[in-house]
Amino acid sequence: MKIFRVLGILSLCFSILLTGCQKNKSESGVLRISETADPQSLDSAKVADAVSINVLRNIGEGLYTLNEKGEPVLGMAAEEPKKEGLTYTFKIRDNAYWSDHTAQSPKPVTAHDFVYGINRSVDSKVGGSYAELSKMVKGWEAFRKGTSNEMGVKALDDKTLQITLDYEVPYLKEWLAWPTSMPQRKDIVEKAGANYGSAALEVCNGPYKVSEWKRDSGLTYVANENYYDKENVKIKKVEVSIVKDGNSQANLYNTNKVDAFKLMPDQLATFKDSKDVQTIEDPVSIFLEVNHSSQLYKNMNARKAISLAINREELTKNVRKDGSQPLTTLVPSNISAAQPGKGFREVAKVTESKFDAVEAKKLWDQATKELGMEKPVLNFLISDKADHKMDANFIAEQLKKNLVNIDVKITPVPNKVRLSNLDKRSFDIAWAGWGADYNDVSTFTDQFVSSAPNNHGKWSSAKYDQLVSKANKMGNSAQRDALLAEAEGILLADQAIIPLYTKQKKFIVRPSVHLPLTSFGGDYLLKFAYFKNAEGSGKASMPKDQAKTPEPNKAPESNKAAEHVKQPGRGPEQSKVRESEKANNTEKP
Amino acid sequence: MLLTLWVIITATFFLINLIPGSPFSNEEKMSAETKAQLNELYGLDKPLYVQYFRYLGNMAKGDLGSSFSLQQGSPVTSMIAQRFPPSFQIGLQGLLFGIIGGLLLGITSAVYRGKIVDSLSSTISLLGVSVPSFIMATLLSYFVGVKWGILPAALFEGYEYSILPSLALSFFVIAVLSRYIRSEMVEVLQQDYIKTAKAKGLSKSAILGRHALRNSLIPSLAVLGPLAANIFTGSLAVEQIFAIPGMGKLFVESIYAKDIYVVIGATIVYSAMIIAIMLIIDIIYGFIDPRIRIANEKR
Repeated sequence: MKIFRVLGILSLCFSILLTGCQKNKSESGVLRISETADPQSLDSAKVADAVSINVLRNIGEGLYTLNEKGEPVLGMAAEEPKKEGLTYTFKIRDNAYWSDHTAQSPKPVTAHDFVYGINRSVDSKVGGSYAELSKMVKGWEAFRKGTSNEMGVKALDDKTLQITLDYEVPYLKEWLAWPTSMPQRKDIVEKAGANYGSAALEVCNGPYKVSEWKRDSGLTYVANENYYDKENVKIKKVEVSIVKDGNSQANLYNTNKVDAFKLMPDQLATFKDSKDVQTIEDPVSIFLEVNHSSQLYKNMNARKAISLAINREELTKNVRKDGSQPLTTLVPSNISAAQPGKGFREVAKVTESKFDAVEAKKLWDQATKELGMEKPVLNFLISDKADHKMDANFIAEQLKKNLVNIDVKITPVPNKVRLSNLDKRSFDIAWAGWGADYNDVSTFTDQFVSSAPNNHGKWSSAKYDQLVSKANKMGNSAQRDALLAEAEGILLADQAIIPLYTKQKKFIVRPSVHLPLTSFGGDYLLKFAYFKNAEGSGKASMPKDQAKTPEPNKAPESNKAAEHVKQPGRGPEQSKVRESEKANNTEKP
Repeated sequence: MLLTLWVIITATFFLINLIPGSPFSNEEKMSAETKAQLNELYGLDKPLYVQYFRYLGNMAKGDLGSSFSLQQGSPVTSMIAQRFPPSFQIGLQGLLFGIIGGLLLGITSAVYRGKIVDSLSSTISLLGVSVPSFIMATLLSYFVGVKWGILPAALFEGYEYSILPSLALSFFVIAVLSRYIRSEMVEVLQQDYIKTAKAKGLSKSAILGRHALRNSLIPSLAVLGPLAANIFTGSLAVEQIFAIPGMGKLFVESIYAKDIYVVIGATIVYSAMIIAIMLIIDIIYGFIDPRIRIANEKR
């Protein structure tokens, strides 16, 4: 029968399309990592997103770089600078070369490359979004406005760079290790034109270069053979794949296609007890912005009542369950003080406003009585992200339960709309957060001076502004810490914002891989990564039970001793805390 | 076609600009001055109609603008050129799997109407229609990719990586098409001309292939157009699950990021694709149904 012959041929076609498949075998000695987003640009002057910052940390190097603990140490600079007043003079290493350097065509890293790179990051015609990080450099404003062709970054000769500041900042080393302070090659940038940074970057001065970059698919790092410290770069090739779905990341890990990935919120429960989880503190402060122009929330008792009515312990432990820690201050615990070796929370003791439902109800009733309101409606602005909704539902429930005479209207909108509504002050309270790019208190305190664009609630205190402004022009000193501690105290006493919690970054890293994580600006430092086994392959160390037939997205076997890496940067010393210990010893901010 | 595209571009341009916020990433950490400088740099400070006419002018020269955030500074044309092939491949394969599977299932269940094969086919169709493609994708990724290890669970590094996503996309097509073909064939098989063919002594395969299937395909083609459009444009969830660097992801992310020119560029591609699919379906109609050809010739 002809028709069945046709059907037969069709079936054959179908089978041919399905067969002939062979799985790719993983290359030995190659580290495979999955990221949840594609880098937006590898142009260090334009860098804006976390993934790009992470890539640039691994392919570029400034005068300073990060050590395995995430602390700034000498990078391209040969020695600590000579300091005269506010002028720093750096000598660049003699053995610092670009990755395209050869004996026939020498390509040393020069002071001119630094001048070019830093100037580009500030130049308004380039369009970098981190230009303001360099604000302390002398002549920044005029250069930014285009009224001057240079600022306080000068090449005295090929290997001598001079940086002059307007005022001292304690995060100078962090700034010099940040991507916007990395050198750039003028010839390479000009040759690529507008496309610079949007394709693989073969000319780099860091431990790696990007040899291949398939947009939205993945990129490949290859060790830079001209890097001065190449002997210590153990892994010669790293493949990064872009996988945006949490389940898929887990599937790839379980089928041994990746060796490490950042855990997404939807996978936290699955990997809760996995021994492969590595945790590091995220320097993030999550809080509620309060609209200080709203009639009700001008009232101090109302603001205080809201703060006291939220049980942060319950929010972090029972609702979020992701390692978040309750926060009752603006500055989270892993931020360093200006005084070397100290954490800011050590020197800035503030009176914490803890959960107190009875006091909250009393204050709320008092506030509504004073204002002649019966049951005010609270417009709670959030973005439509799942975890924002989770937080908002819990907070709304807490407020209704503990304050009674209140109605909470949650307004979930896309993030762009949330930002726009914040700017228009179209909210009573709003979910907000701030993450530190560098390890300094001012990154948090600067956000709440009267003129700050991120002070959406328009809280204003002349004393606070004065203290922050004075502190920002001081270097590493106990006085600076004292001023910022006093400023934070004013902000908290006035309930300018309602702090909620601070977060943690969680990674799944195969036990055979050593991958140092970093808190500030980036996630991991490939330079210090290595395979623990001689084979240098992730597969070799995969637990047998896991390699066979894992359950859907099932985490590897339970082990309460998961590593917790605390990384306060230049502040308190590094510590490794076991998960079990951490559970019994919840950190109180 | 050009008029339709122009209407779509115009509507998309003004609608995307209605979304609040700036198209730049890291917006939260930018000062008002930096935002203003970036707006000036990219001409976003100009009135909307000026931006619109400038965009149309550039588009006429083949320039669809550049990305502001997703791929800062990259031309939209190259972004689309990179993302289109994987989406097109899994879409086309999905459609092919769907047509082959749908034909096999539809014909078999019509020929063996009321028998166990028919019931089985109905169950498969019901599942295909009611289970969304992302569930199918998750199941395929887990069972075929993780548990049985037959095909890769995710990523896009070779042909074998495209099979599971294509299969996930094809289930809906198989389900809808097989039902259409079955019901049309059952009806056609009861027509007088089939009885005549049988009376003339034609073989069963000739009756099914030359008369029954050909006539059953005509109404099925009507659903194939929207199905194809659905498969090519609705692959977002499948792309996400299998980590495929495709158009679906780009389109949705660009809307979230308000990456204006990427949104418009992706819309143009999708619109052009749907228009092309409709055109192809109309042409195929002519081949399958001689009445359409004859009617056109008479005119």
